Amino acid sequence: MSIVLVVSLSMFFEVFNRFDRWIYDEATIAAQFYGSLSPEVLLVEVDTDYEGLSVSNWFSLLEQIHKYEPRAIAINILPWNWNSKDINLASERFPLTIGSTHPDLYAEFENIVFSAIPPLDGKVYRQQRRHELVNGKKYPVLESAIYRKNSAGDNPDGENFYINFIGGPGRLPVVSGRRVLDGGLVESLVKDKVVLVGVKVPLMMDIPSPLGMMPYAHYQAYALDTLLNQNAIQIAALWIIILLVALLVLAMLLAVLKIPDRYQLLVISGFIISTLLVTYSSFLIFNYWMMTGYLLITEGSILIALLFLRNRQNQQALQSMALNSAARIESHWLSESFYSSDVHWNHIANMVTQTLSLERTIFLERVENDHRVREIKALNCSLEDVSEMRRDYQRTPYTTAIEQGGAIKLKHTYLEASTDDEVQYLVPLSFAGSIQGFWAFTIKHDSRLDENKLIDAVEQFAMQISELLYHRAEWEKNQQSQRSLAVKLMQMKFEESAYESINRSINFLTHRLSVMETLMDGLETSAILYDLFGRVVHVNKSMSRMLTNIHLIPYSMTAVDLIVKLSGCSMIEARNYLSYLILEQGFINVPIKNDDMKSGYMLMISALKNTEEADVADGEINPFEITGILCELIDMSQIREVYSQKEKVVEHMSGWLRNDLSSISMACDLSQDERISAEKRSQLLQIIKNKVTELGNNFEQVNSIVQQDMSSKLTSQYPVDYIESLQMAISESKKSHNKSITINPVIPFCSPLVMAAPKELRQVFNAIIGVLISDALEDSEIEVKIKCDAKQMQFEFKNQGFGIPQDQLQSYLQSHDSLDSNEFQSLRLASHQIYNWGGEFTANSQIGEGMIFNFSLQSFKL
Amino acid sequence: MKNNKKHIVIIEDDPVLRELTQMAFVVEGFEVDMFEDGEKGIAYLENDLASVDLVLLDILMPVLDGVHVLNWLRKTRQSSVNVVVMTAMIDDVTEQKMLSAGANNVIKKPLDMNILLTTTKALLNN
Repeated sequence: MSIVLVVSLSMFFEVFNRFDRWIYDEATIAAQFYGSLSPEVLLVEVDTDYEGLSVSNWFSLLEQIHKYEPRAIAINILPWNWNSKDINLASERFPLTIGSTHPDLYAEFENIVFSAIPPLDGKVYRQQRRHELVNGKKYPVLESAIYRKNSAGDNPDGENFYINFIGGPGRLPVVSGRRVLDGGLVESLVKDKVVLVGVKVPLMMDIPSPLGMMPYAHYQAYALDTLLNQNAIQIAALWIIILLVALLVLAMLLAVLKIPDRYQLLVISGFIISTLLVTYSSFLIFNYWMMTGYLLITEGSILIALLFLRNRQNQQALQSMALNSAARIESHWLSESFYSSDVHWNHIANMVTQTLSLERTIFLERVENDHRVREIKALNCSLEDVSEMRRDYQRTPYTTAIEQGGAIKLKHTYLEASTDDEVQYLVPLSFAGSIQGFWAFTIKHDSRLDENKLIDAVEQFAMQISELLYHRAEWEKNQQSQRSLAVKLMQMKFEESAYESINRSINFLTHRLSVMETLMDGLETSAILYDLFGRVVHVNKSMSRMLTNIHLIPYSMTAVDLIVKLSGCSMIEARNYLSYLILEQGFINVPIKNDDMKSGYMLMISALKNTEEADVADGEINPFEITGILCELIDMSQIREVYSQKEKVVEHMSGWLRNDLSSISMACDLSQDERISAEKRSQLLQIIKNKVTELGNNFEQVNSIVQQDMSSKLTSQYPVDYIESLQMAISESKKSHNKSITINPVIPFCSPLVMAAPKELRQVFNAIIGVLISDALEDSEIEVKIKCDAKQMQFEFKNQGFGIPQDQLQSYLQSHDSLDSNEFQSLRLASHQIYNWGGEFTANSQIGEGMIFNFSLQSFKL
Repeated sequence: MKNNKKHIVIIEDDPVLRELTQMAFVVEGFEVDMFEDGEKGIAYLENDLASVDLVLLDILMPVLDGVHVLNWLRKTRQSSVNVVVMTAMIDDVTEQKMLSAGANNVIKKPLDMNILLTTTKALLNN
């Protein structure tokens, strides 16, 4: 419809024609220096005012011209001072044709013809008439009449002809009447030429031509020359133009279909340039105008249409793709079953309650378009426990929690069901920049509770729960909108635009990506992810730190470079590893051989396989099943440490087993001795029986201990060689303090293993030694005494130092508040840890003497 | 009161093994005293070392280990009393350490009664 309108308006305003004429004029101007045409006309310009030509002068002028034997002489306008006698006389003496605008004269004088005003073509004169109709009679115009008289060729039919201006102003020779009168004319200019005497009529203005403003006599001279040379510009016929346009459209459409998108603009530009060249050449050489303007408009229209269609097609494809992607991404987080049932919230409430040892928990969500909260799930309490006055989230304590941006401890009772020994907290649940709800909980007051750790954990949970709440709200909105189409229409709520969907999806993807990056950065394992082509996609902090330490820049290395640098293998080997991974989709362990790196690391390279089937479902088969290559530096020293611990356990246990075997062996031998009484033999047999049972139990126990996962944080206790932990702690503490302190622990020759966790035990020793070193006098000694009795190991750490008041030390150890001093904070945690292992911890300090820490740990016994 | 019986002191923390070892030596006609850790053993030996012909000593014991008792005998008391070490630590390094600390012999667990008696008798006869 719009195309029809545009074409109609264009035709009405002659847009196509005007454009073509403009191109025609420009082509003419461009051709003004084309000089292959030979003129057939000499123009003698006579200014009647200036020249002041009398009749006799006129005759002298004609005489001068005639002397050089021109083919014909023409005067464009009958001189005003000539009478009939003069006209007859001149006609007799010279081959003269005279132009006039008085029809009476045409009948009276044979050689007076019509001097016509040319037809106006737009605002420019480009043509000349051949005939003029006067009083119903057709008279030839001056140029046509002269042509008829002086040319052997036929007078072409048609009313008008296009004047050939090619060659421009320099094409036709022009001399002034004065020069002719002065005898300045040369034969070569006149002989066999048609001399047009152009009279400048005072009232006649210059006329606009393709070459610009031009005197009328000049215009006539061009017209006459065009006729005499028979090189009038031919305009292509309409059917030829239609044919050309049709061919052009066909050719361009074929090109568009066959040629890739990125070359289409180039091809269409080629068409336009070719059109210009061909039509201009045709104009110059064959004087044939192919209506270039029409062809260019056709090409331009196709170009615009193509761009428009391509753009619309791309937009449609993009929109469809975006909506599909948004829907697919949404399906990942908007799991209907999750939000439509309360079961999952039960799980969440139970999980946080158990994990954080909470007494009561209640999750509250914001009520849409209201300032009240609503219960989602509560454990050991309900919304009824929150007084009516305190359910408005625009008031305290909610506003305080929002201002704080995190968990706040409530001083006043919020959950009325809670008891006096419970501490109450309120946490705002915020996601995507807005408050989604609140989480209130209580926890039993415990002197060993580390509040900072609790708050950290709570905030981690809160972040996740906020996101769930947000999705739940979104899901509810969707459900509501799907349920009531009428309401939707009434509220003018239509489907969200593709841009909104995309924006939402991108926001969530960004959030997820950020979570994944945080997760990857948080991994203890150093990891670097490459794409299939070996380029870095992500480096986690641990890997970045490790590579920087050995002077390698992760982002400037490919996967092959990394393998070569870390393992010391050749490039070919590294490439082979990757080829194997990509083809076999497995993993490879490569030992690290880098001088700058401590030993005990293993590089594990694995191929990440794409398990997403959505691409296939869309009809696009993903050519790459491998989406990336993950390189991880595995610290084998930790694994070795674990095995070393297990070896020690087995070693210790073998000692006990040997004792048991000794008892069985000796009891057997004694029972066979005849000197032993029957009663004793019976006792010996009982001993054998008991020991065999005990041995079996011990074997089972050994087996279960050896199979225990020591690396798991859930394994809080394990038989640990405390000597190794102590020695490492002493070494680490000395490194981190610049004091000159001697620490020589007195360790019993045969020390049993203690029940603890290897890493945490080292931290306990570190904490105790750290406090003692900080407090110790320069060049003093820290005494470490260790004793073992049947059930436990006793440790005593004593320094010679400044000491602090005993009350202050006790308050540090027993307080719940976080301490400014990291050392005492660690000491407090260490004491809690010892209690958790079933040991005892005492701390004493005296100003001027120093500090003593005593603690015990259970010995490992079967 | 001194009689003709050879006097053996057993210091061993495992009560069953301690009792069985005592029974084995008593049957063979030895006079036996036994203690559950090094501290109690030293307390006895402090006063009655002269009456003791041989000390049968375990290494891994709570409170005070066998190494400590051996060092006390050889270094503190400068005693040349026969000492046989019974150990569940089967490595040669421990054996060498005990011998160089002054043990007359080292018997690795699990104990074989015949070897224990033969070794002990041989030491006492020499």
